[in-house]
Amino acid sequence: MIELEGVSKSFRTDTGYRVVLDDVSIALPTDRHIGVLGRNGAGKSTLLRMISGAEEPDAGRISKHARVSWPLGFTGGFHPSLTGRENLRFICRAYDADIDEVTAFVEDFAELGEYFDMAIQTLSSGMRARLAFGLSLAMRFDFYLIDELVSVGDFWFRAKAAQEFDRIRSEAGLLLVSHSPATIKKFCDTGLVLRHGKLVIFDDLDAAVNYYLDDG
Amino acid sequence: MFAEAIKGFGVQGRVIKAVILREMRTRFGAYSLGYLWAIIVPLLFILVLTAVYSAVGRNAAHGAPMEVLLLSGMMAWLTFSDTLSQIQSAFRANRPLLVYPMVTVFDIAMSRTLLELLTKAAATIVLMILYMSFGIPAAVDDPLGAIIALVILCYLALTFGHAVACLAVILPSTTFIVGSLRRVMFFTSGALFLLSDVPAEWRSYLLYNPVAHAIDLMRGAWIAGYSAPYFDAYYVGQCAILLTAAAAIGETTTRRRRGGARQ
Repeated sequence: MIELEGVSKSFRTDTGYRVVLDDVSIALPTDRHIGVLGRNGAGKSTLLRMISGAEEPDAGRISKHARVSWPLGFTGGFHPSLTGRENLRFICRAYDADIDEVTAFVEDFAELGEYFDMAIQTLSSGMRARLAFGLSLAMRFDFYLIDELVSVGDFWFRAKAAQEFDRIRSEAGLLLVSHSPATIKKFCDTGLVLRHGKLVIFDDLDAAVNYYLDDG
Repeated sequence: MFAEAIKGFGVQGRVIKAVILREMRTRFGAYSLGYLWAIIVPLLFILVLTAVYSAVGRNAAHGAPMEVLLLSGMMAWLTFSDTLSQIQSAFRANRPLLVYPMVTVFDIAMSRTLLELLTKAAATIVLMILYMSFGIPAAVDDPLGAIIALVILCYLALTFGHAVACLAVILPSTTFIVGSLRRVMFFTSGALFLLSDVPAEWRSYLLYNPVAHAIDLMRGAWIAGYSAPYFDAYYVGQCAILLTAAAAIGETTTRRRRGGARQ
């Protein structure tokens, strides 16, 4: 369960304040596959970053009662001058995960070859994303945060990633941000609509999509 | 509740250890010898300074050779000064780590302070042994006292550095002003001289600098015949409380403005 209590968040822009969340209190079940719907710029990604802890709300608090992932594929937590292997060690230590086990999984999954032992700054963005993706799979989170399903790496890797994504869906909950209702319908069972600074949760995806499209 | 608190300490200990290992690996990442440089640099600095002083013909006091006065004074100063630098730059350097929910700003500051303390303690021991192997009576008289002095210096640097880093979020010129202030603090700290050599009317001004008190404590611990007469625990305690409050206020008022890890 992820609980938002009186959470507000807004940004200052050239034309005034843009409100993302306005005093929102809601509980998100972490055993569900939640699709977040909202118009461009409504603040879907900001919501995801706040849940991950990467961004602080202006007011209120967010409490997590599950092991929640960092945004899938997020590579900003890597130290650029450390190698993939060394970054992995740091994250394993912080999460109290087995270093050897995780290393074996990521080495096999990300297929970086010799690049696994080179500084992150020498890797292409695709390689970094593969590493981060593999790492978040290996950590076995209870709940995954996904900001758009962007496929990483070459074609072959995409098939492998899709297979692992199916495994995540069968073993863990997730929160998927997408601008496409079709993607959400395909992968999720619960809808969360963000509009006018409020969050509304729907058990029925069609009802969520209708509510979202209704906002002319 | 109690069990949760203990678990919290366990997580924090684990995170601090992980951040320390990461710091050690990255600080001098590109150079051979790696983190050993963190010990070599202050050693060389003090050795050169000592060589210049002995060439100029400065003398000893309170039965301690000039090498020991500079060893105790400069190591104490560098502990304060380097910790301060590390804390001031801690936000920017480790900001991406805040995306991992168990890593807090406190852990990062704590890791850097602890690492600096351990590094300077190691450098101090190496230099002491080096001097002793050349027959200079450099052995520390009261090791526990010396450790306490270093811990006090680290704590002052931690709270001062954090308060400054927070203030710099609102007022960027703070960093520049503190840079100048730090130079003044160095020359008034007594790292290069004994406070007793300074005329009393001047000394009272120097003693507004809490680092001068801690350096005197360090010398008192090092030299058997010297009792650190200028260390005023009450004054240093007041400074520590004030700086702690400043750091805490700075942390709570600027946390949201600083934002979290950038994506």
